[in-house]
Amino acid sequence: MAIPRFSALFRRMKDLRQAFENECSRDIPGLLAARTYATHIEDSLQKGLTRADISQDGWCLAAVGGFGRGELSFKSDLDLLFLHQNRLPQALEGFLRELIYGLWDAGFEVGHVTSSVTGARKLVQEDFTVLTNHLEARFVAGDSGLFENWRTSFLKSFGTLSRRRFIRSLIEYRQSRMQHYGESSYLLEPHIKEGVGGLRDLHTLRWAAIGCARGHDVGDLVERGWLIPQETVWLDQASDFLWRVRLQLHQITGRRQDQLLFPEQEQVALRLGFRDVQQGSAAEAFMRLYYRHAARIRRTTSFFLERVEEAQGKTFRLRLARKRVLPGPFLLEGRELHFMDPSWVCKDPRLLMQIFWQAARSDAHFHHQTGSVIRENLACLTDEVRSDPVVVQQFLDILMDPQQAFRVLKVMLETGFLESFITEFAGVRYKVQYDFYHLFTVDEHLLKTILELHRMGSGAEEDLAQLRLADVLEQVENRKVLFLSALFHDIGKGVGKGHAAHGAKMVPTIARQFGLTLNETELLTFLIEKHLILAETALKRDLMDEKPILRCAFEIGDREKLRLLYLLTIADSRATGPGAWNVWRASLLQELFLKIDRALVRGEWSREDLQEQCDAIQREILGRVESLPEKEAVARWLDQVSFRYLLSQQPEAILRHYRMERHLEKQILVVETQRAEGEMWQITVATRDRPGLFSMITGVLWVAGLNILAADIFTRPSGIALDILRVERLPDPLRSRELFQKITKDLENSLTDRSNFVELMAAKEKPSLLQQRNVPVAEDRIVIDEDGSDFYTIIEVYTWDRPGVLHAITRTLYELDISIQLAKISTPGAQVADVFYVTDLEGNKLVRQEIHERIRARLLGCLLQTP
Amino acid sequence: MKKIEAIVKPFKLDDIKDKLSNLGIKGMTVSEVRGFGRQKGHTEIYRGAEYVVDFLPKIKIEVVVPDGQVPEVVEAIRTAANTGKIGDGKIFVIPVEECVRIRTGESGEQAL
Repeated sequence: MAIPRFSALFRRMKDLRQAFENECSRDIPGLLAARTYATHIEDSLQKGLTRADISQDGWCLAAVGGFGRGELSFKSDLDLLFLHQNRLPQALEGFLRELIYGLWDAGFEVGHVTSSVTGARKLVQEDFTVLTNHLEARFVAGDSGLFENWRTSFLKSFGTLSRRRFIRSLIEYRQSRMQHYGESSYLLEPHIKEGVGGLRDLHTLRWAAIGCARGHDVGDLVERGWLIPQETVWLDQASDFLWRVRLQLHQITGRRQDQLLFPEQEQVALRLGFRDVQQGSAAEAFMRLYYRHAARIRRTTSFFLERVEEAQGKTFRLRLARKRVLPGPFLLEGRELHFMDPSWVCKDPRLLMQIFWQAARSDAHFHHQTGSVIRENLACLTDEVRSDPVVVQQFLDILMDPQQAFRVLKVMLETGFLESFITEFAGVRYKVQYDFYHLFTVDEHLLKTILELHRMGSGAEEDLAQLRLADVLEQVENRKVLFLSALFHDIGKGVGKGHAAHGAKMVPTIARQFGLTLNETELLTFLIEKHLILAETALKRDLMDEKPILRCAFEIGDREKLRLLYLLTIADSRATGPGAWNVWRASLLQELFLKIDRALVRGEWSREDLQEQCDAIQREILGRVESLPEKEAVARWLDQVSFRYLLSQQPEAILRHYRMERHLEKQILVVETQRAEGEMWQITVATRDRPGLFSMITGVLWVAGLNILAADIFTRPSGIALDILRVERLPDPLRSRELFQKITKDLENSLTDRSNFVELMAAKEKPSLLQQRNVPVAEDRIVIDEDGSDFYTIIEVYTWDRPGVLHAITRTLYELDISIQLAKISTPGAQVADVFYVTDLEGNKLVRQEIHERIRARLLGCLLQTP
Repeated sequence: MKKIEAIVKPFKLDDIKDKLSNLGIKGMTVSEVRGFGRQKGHTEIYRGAEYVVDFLPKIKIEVVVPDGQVPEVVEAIRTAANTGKIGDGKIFVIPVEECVRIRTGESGEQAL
């Protein structure tokens, strides 16, 4: 190649980049740094090219995209547009190749286009992204006259008609982006650039400004009334924040990664100076701020685009819209609601609530100006207005409106009205819960809970129809309190750990504001304080055991309260995210609800007569057997099985189990599989009991890739063990038969010779390259409970979910000579809660403190060793 | 360095490309291939007539990445290419000994 004429330039650019990257090893002012760096790079390019040994006529080099915008990270692409007239002369071609290759070799990513002026015009027409890319062009080197001509004619091409079309395209482009990056995986790990409220929104705003106002300056936009001064301040702050985050993210990962993943969220938070405090972790506080900024960008951009679109198409729209005056007075124009005169709001702040109420009544949208007026007048809300009976009643009307509640409350939240009206709400605004389980920030979750309650009433949801929740809702007398409890159940999350108790303490102030009666106040306190007990009991306690049922019944006290709590629990779970609601949970909750309800109807806290119930079940089973000899055999067998077994299984299942056990005379193992609700399966295993059998079964199922939800283990006096497992997540639902055949074979081999089992495990335990991604984890915790059940010790293990963890736990328990009678496993997000009902090998509760300590130490040790 | 080779349904290519460029992947090789896996010469009923489809058209994507990036790249491809139906494809991870950029002679990870 020729003499490297640009080598000094590339050295200089590399130095600049390295210096910038080094600077970013600590937090620096984001936007300023990105701009300074871009300017430096541009300067060096300009100098390097101007000095180069080539005529400056007939071509020009422009910075476009992010480079043209003048904001760069050290990992950003350099977008370059090289324009020439007519045909590209050979000399220029060599020059250009040297430049681009050199940049590549210097480690810059270059996005470059070489084109004639007419070619560039064509490209812009064909590709919308090229259009937006070229909008922010900046002259770097060459023939400035050529650049100016091209630029002027490019901007001129935005006539009135094409401007309108341009804004439409921008809005559509943004919508498709929102759709893609709005899906749940991006809620927890947002994309800084393309995500909802990301940098791209700010770019969109600039493009609209350049295309429609010919100005780069935000001041122009304010002058035209497309932005209000407060919004420009927000945008400046937010873009500075996003840039701070982005630079740190690039520095930490060492590449242009723009999605803020969990492991980096923590690191960026620390770099930005956040620290773990009692109210939450550094990452939680950081993400809360992130969502606040992103929400502001998203909102401002939406309003801005609405205004611009309106300005482009004004005459057309105004002529069509019907105008009506509504009491307030407000103006309803088409479907958009305005204040008649914004200055009245401060004189009578009750208008603020009234306009929401009116919007709900007439199914109206909020005009973007209405939003600003509300925001500007929030300070006028006084305590007197907040507790004004009319205002409160209007709020309740909105809250209870099945069609409008969610939509209108959401606007209340976004305009900041909700936290001004109910000051307790400020604590949970944008509040993040740092795990895989809670998809939404707390404020969003509370609104979604209300939405879910309304959905129950409509009965439209298929998976809810089975639970007949609409009927339950029908019987509820205190609907108002139910909806208030949905709105407030997590209100204590702003304070710290133990949010239910914290929330309950906040009720008196809320009750005063809402003018609740003593009765209603008590009920609301109860619901908030106890909103977790149904879910906790259903997931972690044996529902065959009467004790937890009676305990719940005692705490709840009457049927109305139970109904309220049940509906609240379901709405709460469904509003949390897909990890918190499934068929399994639904069936557990329903079972618990019905059982507590029966206990409450019975009134006294006495136990049902077990003997009588068992007799009835036995009669029913025997009634199903036809031949006399079998009838006698079954009767003898039934006398030996336990109460818990008889009461927990269906009569026809019991008979099937009997027949399975008969087969064991000839074979070592009988396995039966059955499809259960949803995607769940039930696996029944009958074999001779032996130490560590359950741990072996969990091992084989783990190898097969199944997820165990629950297990019932019955051991007969005859020495036969019957394990009934409920599993989900078949790796390949299309080929379930092959899967279960393999499981049966693996189990059979393992039972015949333990070394087969050891081999099977060893093959699976081989470390894989593809370790689970880092997710936020809480510390491992072991809780041992002797009071929860009269016959068993209950061990609860909390840890993070990883392959084989259940097998590791059950193996440890087996090594400790502990016999597992029942297991319940729930996997909320990345955490697992494994609950075991256990006894010692003689079938007694463990009781002694030193045994507890040993179990705890061994289990924690085994969890630590499980990668 | 590892090579990640993914055989996927053709219409999933764009999604995968997006996900990978989100991760900062700079280059990839894509080819149109034909093949079959577990569905074998699976027979499809088309308008009442039986067709034996021996080889189905697929897209093969090849990317070479530093070891540390393997898990997230595999996860990204897997989630983007998943439809839950038969024939979603496979991902292979293969060790790569060396890599050379032909034009410059650079080698190792910086040549990626």
